[in-house]
Amino acid sequence: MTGVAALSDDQLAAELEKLASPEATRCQGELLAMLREDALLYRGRGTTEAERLRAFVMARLARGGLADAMTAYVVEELESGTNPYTVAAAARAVQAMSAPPLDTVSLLEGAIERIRPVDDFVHLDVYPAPPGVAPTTAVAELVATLRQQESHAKPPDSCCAGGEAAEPHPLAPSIGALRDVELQNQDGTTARFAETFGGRAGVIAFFYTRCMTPDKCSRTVGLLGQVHKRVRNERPESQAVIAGITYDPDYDLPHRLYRYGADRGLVFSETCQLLRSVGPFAPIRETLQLGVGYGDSTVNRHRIELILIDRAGEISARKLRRLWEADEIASAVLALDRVSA
Amino acid sequence: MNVEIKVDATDPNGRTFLTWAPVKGSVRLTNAGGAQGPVSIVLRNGGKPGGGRVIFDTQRSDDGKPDLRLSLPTNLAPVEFFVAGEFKHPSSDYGDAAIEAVDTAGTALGRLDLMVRIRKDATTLSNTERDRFLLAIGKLNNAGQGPFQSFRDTHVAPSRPEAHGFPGFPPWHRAYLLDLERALQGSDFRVALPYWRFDKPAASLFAPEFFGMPPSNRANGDVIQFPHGHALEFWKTDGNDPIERRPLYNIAGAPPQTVGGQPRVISQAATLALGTQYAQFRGMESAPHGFAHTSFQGPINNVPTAAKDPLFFLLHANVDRLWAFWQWLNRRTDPSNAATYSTAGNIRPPGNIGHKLGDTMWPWNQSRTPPRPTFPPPRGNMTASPVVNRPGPTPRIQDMIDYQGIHGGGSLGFDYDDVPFELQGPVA
Amino acid sequence: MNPKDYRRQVEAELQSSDSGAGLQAAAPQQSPEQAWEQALAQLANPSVPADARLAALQQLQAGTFLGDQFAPYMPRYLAALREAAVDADDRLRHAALDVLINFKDEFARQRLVEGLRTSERALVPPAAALGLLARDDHASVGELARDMLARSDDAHVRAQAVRVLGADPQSKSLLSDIMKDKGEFREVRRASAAALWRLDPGRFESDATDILQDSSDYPEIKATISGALERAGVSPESPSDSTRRR
Repeated sequence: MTGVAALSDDQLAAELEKLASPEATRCQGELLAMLREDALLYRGRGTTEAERLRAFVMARLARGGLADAMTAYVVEELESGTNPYTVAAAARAVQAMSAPPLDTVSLLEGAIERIRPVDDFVHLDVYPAPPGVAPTTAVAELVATLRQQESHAKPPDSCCAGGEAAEPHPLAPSIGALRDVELQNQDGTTARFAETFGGRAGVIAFFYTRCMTPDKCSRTVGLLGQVHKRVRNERPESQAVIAGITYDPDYDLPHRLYRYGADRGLVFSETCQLLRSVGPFAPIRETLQLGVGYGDSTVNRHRIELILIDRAGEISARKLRRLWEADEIASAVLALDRVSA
Repeated sequence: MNVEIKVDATDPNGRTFLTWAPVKGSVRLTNAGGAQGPVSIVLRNGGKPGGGRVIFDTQRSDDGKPDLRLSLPTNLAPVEFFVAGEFKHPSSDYGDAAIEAVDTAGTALGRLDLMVRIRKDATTLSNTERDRFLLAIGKLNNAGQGPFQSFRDTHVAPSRPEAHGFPGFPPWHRAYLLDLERALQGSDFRVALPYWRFDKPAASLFAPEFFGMPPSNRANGDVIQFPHGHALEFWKTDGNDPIERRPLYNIAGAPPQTVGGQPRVISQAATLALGTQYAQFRGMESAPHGFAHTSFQGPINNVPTAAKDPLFFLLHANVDRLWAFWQWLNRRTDPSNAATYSTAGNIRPPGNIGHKLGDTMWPWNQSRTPPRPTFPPPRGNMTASPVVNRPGPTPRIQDMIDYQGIHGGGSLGFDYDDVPFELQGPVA
Repeated sequence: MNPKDYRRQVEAELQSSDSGAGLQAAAPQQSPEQAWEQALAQLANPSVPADARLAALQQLQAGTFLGDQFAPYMPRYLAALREAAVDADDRLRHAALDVLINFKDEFARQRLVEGLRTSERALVPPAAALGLLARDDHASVGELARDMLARSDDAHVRAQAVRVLGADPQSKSLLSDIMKDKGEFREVRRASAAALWRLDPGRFESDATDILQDSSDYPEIKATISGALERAGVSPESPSDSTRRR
């Protein structure tokens, strides 16, 4: 998806016009789709520009009564976002929620610590945002939201208590359609999807080496190494595959994959690999409905993304947008591996 | 008749490296040659003219002498001694220093080549030393594909609280420099990290052969223009970023010490005068340290990007040298003394983690538990030295304080050309 | 030299040094917070002379090294930097943009892009603008760089444009062509070589072999390429192997 031109200013204005009165007749799904990483308005744009747009969209949707529907995006931003604009927008969205998630207070506290060193004035109600002083800053928005949540603490709503926020957008059921897609691993060896994953349980996480947020891709790949280690220790005979696939195959050549993985503790083998698509990445992205958007030469934004597959190639579970831990995934892989085909 | 000389600070390849801190050695007869009683020998300097020099004593002291008379038993048992580099006489190459054993007639009985390996003012390096260092760090970077990126990835925004704005700023950076220096020595054992004496003119440091300068016209950008074939010509970090740096002062001089009456890149004397207590001295993180960074346009003037520029390490070597100099001057090497190290002042929440004496330091402790960064630590454990045992794989704050082993336990394996080893008397 | 003699020498020097403080503690005239407030007021005030505003910028940027202590000043600092980035004084503009780009500031990125598209809106000259934009490989300015490469015959502009394209895997062929083009500025060829080495070491090695074997090519280019291969431990005669590059 690199090389795609961004919308012109007029086209962008037309897209943003949909937000003018979101509480009116617009289909909720269409509006929420503007938060997808691959939404039209972000394509071909740089990361910081896409983040600014995203913040504006989020703030507008929150004002338009869609705060609860975008909980997954809001929580993601509060947990791992590093841009003051998007995090501030997420904070404002929480204020508009009827049933914020249970861990909202701790998420807000974490966001305050993370954003404090890069705090900035935020103009959330106008795009493009003017550069100067604003009535509020990102940290001020977070603090205001935290105070609101602490003062209005109420019993969890039955529909949203505990668990993860529902992902609002389509998710693929299996990897079967990718059987003939050719992959190359960190050693330069190529194999089809079916040869790498066929008949095996496993986990596939998505990443790219140029990711600027260490808590996303660097952490993800490091955790894959921990998952592999635990699976190997508990069941040395397991053929479960622990793999990472790059969003950025043209840049993430084998030697780069190797160094990235090795530096993060991966012990490469047939059951632990970092992979790139040899041909275009689009089939993988589209089949799996991955949450990734592109600027003109690389990813401009992506969600944390991991799928667990059973021996039949069915996607049995996902971890999307939230930080995950190695033990949980390792246990899931071991459980899937135990189930006979 | 021959003797065998051994020194503790010797690597598995038989190469010996000394600093100013004394290390234990031993000498023994390998054959008595018919001697009926103990054989009298002299240990003395055997290095090349202009090379490193060593001093000797029978005990660990700061009062070594250029030669030492010993009596060696005919049963070939070793006799211990202490040896150190002679202050102000570092090596510039391996083997330009040596311990020579001679008999009373001056006949050579044995010899041990070595290097007095010392961190020097970058402007005093010979061309050979300069190029050796540049090649080593250029190889470490390897056009962005080498291990240097892991050092760069250690000094980023999420790790800022580990190293900046809190009491552990000096020891954390001392560990960071040591890790890099040991990595360089893995490539070339003769390398010691030089320092940029930023309160003095250092035009030669910015010569094309060394760290270079950007185009003279600001309009043409800030990428350093290296000669073709220069070791840093293909330097990359974070993808395709070469070295960018533009001095905001005239490099014929030094950055200003004050501006508008306020401290900037203050002199060494003014830095030392910040106070005799650690809580006062660590204010040097602001002036001169912060202002040394912001004397340039380019990534070096910003914490999350500063380590992209190799000059960062020479800047911080001087920061560390200033701390070492202050430690020596004020006899501040005992970590249990609050004047040496104190957590007074602003505290990193929660619990000042990473900044108390007994705390290990990220990334070398491999911690991923908040409030430490939760992504994989870019560096593993502290790079081991083939010559010294300290500070160990997961150094603590306190392990970085007595870097010369004044209070025992051995040194960290480095010294500065203008900071001697001196055992401490009563502490004020 | 005996350390005790050295100590006497140093103490004597410090006593007579022109710091005026001797060995006593020297307290700064202002607290850091006071200095930052004053500096913010100066930086944000267009009527203050540019030199003073540059000094204020450095004061504040040095403050960022203190982390948490400076954090409350960050929003006002960023706002003041953005004001300075469009100031009449070109040194101040450049210094402010340099800091903002290091912060990956979107306002700065947009203004630099506007300036490259419309020269009347340029805040800094094009080579400098491209150089600043090139620091962020997520800035999505590849198309702009290709456009500048097509339009400009200035060596520095072309070198910086090539540097931007070093983040774009789709530009490998273009970079390869530039690297081999004996009619291209040597500085631009070098930048292309560096970019291609990063994007596709195998292709770089192949092109490097051709250049090294071309008796009509420039010694400086050959020195550049040989140096890169030597530091990587690659012999131009050996077949390329991705495992060897580890």
